[in-house]
Amino acid sequence: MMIATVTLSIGALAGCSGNPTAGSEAYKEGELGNGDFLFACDDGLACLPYSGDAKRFPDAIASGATFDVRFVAKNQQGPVIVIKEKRYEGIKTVAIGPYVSQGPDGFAAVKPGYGTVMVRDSGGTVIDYVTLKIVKPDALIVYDANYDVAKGNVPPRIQALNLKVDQTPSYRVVAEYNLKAVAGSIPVEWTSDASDVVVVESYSDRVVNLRAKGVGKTKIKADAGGLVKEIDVEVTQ
Amino acid sequence: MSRSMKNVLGTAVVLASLVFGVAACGPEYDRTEISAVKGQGTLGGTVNTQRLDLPHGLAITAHIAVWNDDNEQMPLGVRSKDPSIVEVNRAVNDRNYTFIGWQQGRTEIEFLADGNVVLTIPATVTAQPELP
Repeated sequence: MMIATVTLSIGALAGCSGNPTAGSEAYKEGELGNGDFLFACDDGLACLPYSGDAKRFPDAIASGATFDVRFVAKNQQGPVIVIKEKRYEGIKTVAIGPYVSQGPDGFAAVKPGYGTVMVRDSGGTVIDYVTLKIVKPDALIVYDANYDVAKGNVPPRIQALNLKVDQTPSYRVVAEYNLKAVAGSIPVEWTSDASDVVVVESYSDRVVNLRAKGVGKTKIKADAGGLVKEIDVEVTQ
Repeated sequence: MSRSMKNVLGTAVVLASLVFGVAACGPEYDRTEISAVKGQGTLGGTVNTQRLDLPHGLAITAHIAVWNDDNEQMPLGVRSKDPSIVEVNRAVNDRNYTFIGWQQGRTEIEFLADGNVVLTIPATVTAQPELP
């Protein structure tokens, strides 16, 4: 069966930054009305507008992105919930393939379409489920990793870079669809055409760290899900 | 045959008639009702006593009841002949069942009353509608 499960452990929940206020648009009501779903991930603009003290549940998620979904039933989270005086144990979230899959790090949006994440108990009883719209991004937005997401969902786009030797800027990428940033953390492969001019020093937690090595001009490329964003770089003394 | 043997046989025949007569006159399956069908938004999917249609990767939930001819609900079971195409699970609230479309294809759903199959409907998992 194309099914993988992850128990919503108390430990995992303890790591959350807290849930939005009840009634917030961050909650998306389950199709059965037994609880609400929260979107969660940690990758700057791709996640923060929807996670933690989020303002809204995402309208769409980028295909190829990873994310998590939490279930809240009448202020209850965790492996045991009570609905209408009946106790349900071993609560798990389950991805219904093929549009959504599940692994040790959470969910992945596999391909464009409508995905389903379902909540069940250990006996297989369906508690509720949520529909996720998955879209194929049509572009990538590269932005400063230090951008304050509280300023809005439209960060200054990095189109070209003018760096000084030994400067070490950091950037993130968010997927774009119809000129809007799309939710979901996407893995990116970064390369430099001339590593004697600018080098990709590291890529971790979805942040790339570059270093300007020497005077010259080159391009860096961000490659994610078949989309490539090229950025012209000029390094001066 | 002795008189006593005839009496025993006669009693047995009368008892058997009573037993089978009672069984024949007891409440029997009458009908299946499917109501309160909930799909996923406007994405389609339906289930009724004629058929189940469900888009791939989505689910649909319905309240299902089987009734006897005394108008009482009977113990209910619902199962899929091919759970790799359509999986059936109990849902929160008594007699609610969720059908999950795991892969495109056709199968059948069986409804059981008191352990007996009383209704079989065709089930089809179709391609999802195009994204707008």
